[in-house]
Amino acid sequence: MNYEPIYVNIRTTAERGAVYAAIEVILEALYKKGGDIDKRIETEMPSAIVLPLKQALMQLPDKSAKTIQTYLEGLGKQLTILRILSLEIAYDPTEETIAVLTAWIRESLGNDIIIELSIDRSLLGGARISYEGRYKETNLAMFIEHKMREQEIIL
Amino acid sequence: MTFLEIGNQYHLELFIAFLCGGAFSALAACVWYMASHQKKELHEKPYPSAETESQHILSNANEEAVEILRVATEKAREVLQSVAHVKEGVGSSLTKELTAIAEQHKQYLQDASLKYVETYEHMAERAQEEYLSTLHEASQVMAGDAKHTLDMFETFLKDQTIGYKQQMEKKIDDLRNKVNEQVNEYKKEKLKRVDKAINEIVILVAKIVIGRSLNIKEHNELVLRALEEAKKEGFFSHLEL
Repeated sequence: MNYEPIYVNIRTTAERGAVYAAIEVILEALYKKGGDIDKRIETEMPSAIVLPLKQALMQLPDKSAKTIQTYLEGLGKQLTILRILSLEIAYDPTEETIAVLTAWIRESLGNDIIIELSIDRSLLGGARISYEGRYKETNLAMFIEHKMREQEIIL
Repeated sequence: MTFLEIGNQYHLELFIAFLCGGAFSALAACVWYMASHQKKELHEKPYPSAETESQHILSNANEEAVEILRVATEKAREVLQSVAHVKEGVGSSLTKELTAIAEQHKQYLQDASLKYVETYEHMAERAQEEYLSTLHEASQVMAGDAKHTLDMFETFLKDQTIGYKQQMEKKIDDLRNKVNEQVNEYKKEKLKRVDKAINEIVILVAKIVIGRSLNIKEHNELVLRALEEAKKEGFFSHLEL
């Protein structure tokens, strides 16, 4: 099954956790009488996922609980294999921050990557990037120091 | 008695002994001749009585011999007396001569000694004068040498002093230059440290000020810039599409 239209809208590990939780709730509701799956999706899933998930479920061959369950479990498994790019930044990320970073990641690196954000205020600015054992730090403190050293050498 | 006198006396006695010896020899020769002549006459002539004749001849010969001996002795005595007179005269004259010669020699020696003393005194005076003169000259030469040596020593000392002074000045200059270099080096090092400290402070202040003054948009741009830089360096090469 193609889960890309769904996970492409998951930007951070926090959002993935929310999706995991929503999947659990929906799966529990599948076999309960009077359970409205669409309503559960709307209430439990992050807003960015709701529409793509509904559209995906509509494209399923049948609307049986078993089929939905299989799809959702497949989605959950797909989410576990998403690659994680860790970013330490110096400030509290806003929605704009996450949107900007995700846009850059989708364009430059791919759709199956989510961001794990954490905060270290000593960086002042910039980011500490790590991925699968690789590590790089480009922060404002280093940038300022580098520029100052250049000025010092010139002087 | 002088040596000459003793020599003359010995010669005189030998001369007298020689004369006496000669007289006795002549007397013995006469006796022998007369005896042999009588013997020949006895042999040649016929003997009235040989024994008587021989006794007569011997008696005559004895008488003649005694006479000859007496005459010879007399003559010898006379000779001895004359010799004694001669000896006395010769000794006297010799003594006189020797005394005169001795006097002459004494006078000569006195004169010579006086002359010698005069000469010695004169020479001593000259020697003293020469000695004094030489001493004076030597003292002058020594004084001159000493002055020359002192002058040379003074010149040497001056040269040495100048040399030492120049050396010391050079050493002081070298030391001053070295100290200046060290001071400059120390100054540079300290200034460098001060500059470094100032830079550290500036950097710290800049970090704090700039970090606090950034807005969200600028923060986002910095994060994107970090990502772009990482991408350029190939950090995401295995992830890129």
